[in-house]
Amino acid sequence: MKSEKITDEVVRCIEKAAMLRLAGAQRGQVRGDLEQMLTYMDRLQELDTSGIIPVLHPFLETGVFREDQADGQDLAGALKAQTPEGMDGCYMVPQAVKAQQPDGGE
Amino acid sequence: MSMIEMTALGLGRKIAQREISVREAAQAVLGQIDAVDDTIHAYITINEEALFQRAKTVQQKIDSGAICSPLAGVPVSIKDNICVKDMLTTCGSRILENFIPPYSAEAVRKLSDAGAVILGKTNMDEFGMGNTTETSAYGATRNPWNTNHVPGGSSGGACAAAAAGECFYALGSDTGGSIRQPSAFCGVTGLKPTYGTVSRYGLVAYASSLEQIGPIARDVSDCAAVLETIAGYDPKDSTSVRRKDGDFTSALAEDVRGMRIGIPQDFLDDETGEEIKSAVWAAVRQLEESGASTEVFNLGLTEFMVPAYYIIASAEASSNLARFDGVRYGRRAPEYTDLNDMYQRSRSEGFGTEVKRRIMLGSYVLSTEYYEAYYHKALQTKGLIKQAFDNAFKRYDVILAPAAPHTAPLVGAAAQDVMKTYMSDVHTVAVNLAGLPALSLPGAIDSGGLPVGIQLIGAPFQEKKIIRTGFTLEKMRNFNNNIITKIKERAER
Repeated sequence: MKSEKITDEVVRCIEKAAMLRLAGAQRGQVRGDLEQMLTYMDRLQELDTSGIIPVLHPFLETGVFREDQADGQDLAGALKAQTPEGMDGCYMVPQAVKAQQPDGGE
Repeated sequence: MSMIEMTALGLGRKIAQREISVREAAQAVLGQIDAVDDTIHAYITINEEALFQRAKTVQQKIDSGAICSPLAGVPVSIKDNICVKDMLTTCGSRILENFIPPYSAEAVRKLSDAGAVILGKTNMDEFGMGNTTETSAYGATRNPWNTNHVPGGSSGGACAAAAAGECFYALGSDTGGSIRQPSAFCGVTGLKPTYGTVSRYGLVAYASSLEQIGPIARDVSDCAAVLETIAGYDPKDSTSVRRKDGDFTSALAEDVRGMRIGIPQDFLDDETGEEIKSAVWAAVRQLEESGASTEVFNLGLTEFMVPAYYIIASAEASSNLARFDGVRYGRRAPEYTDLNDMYQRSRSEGFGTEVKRRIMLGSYVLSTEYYEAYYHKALQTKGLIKQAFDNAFKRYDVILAPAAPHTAPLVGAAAQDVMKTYMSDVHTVAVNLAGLPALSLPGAIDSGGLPVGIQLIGAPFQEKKIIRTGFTLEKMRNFNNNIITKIKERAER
């Protein structure tokens, strides 16, 4: 299978999925890089993998669980102190959900 | 031999015998850092005040008998993607330029319990993505052997520091060769353990299914001693494996009689330099003279190893690095219009080009339309590669191969051809895909004066076999890989 040409539209979709925004010139460079990388990675299609189970962990075949018990660590305060902007133990971010006006506008 | 040329275990013995104090050891290595690090740039962070306070505490514990580990009091450097409590941890990235972890990685905790004295955090390719340490947002590290050349990566700072006498040993991490390749380029010894042997708790994740923390030091004995200290089951890491054979230093014997060594012909192709191949064959002859049997074989699948690795690693990276969004830690963009804009600006301003490249590749191969063709296919390829190694280890105890197809390239060369740089990982990535242990140690010095590394690969959980083989080869070494005094003199001129 040949990789689809990486168009500007495709790059924009990937940027959105990756929460990135490339500058104009950088977008062109990354587009070319992706095209080159995917063309190289297309060689995997030459390999017959029929019936081969995908491997995630090289040794474990089942998930690992632990007892649902608190371990006594209390890092909440120290972790919250890391935030670039916080208030009263909360993380401050721009409003995510805008209130809707009675007429349907925002 | 000056103090800073000692091995970690050698210094540990002197400290235990009270011939050298912990403070003296710390002062000596800080002196070397002051002399050479402006040129080499192995470190991102050094906290001198905390270092001497720690040295005092460790000395007291040694004197009282509370600590008697062979590494007690020995100064160590930690790669900057491994969390150390209250010490800046950047992962070589601007997006973590202000991140100070509130906890230490489990491997660091174990070293601290054994009396290690942490010097600082070493430079690295951003988030482990690179093999030259040039993608660091804090400047490139230079190879101590020749500062026009790179040290390799991504643990380039750690390996350069170990080679230059700027630490007695180091902790690095290896996702696709990031301990082994820079160890080869810098003429030091590095070990990537079997997947699951060392807890990944506190290792900032790049590709969680592939990476391990491991030791970098000046000889095999030091690597074995450090691994013995940091290995062990950790319930905080769900991929941690319970092992009963943690006594890795018991394998330090000069005896390979009866060992079966396999040499993969496909790792000695036209892309591998002639002096690299010569070093491999020289090691083969040495092992034969010591009573091992050797055989050339075809491993297979070599042309699929790098594509499979980069698909899987990038896919995992796109998921693992999604957490860096300017909300809970790290750098937030100073200006933004709404939440999505904040995410995009924080990440775009905070990540370098290589990281963005790999996140985007990972997002693409995980997308609905391409998941089967790339990610699923790569995981199947991983299964086949694992099978190939399993079959090889039915016939051989150890696989001997190059650690890299060439010696350290010039600074700036990698940026000119990204794909060529990726393809140069061909000797190392398959080991991570199969979860195997592997040791990189100096094999020769090339005609340009640069180190050539050789790699010993073991079956899963067979670190002792590669340690024994490496220890034996090291005893037969007929060249000097100690450049510590030379580079200090060079820096002082």
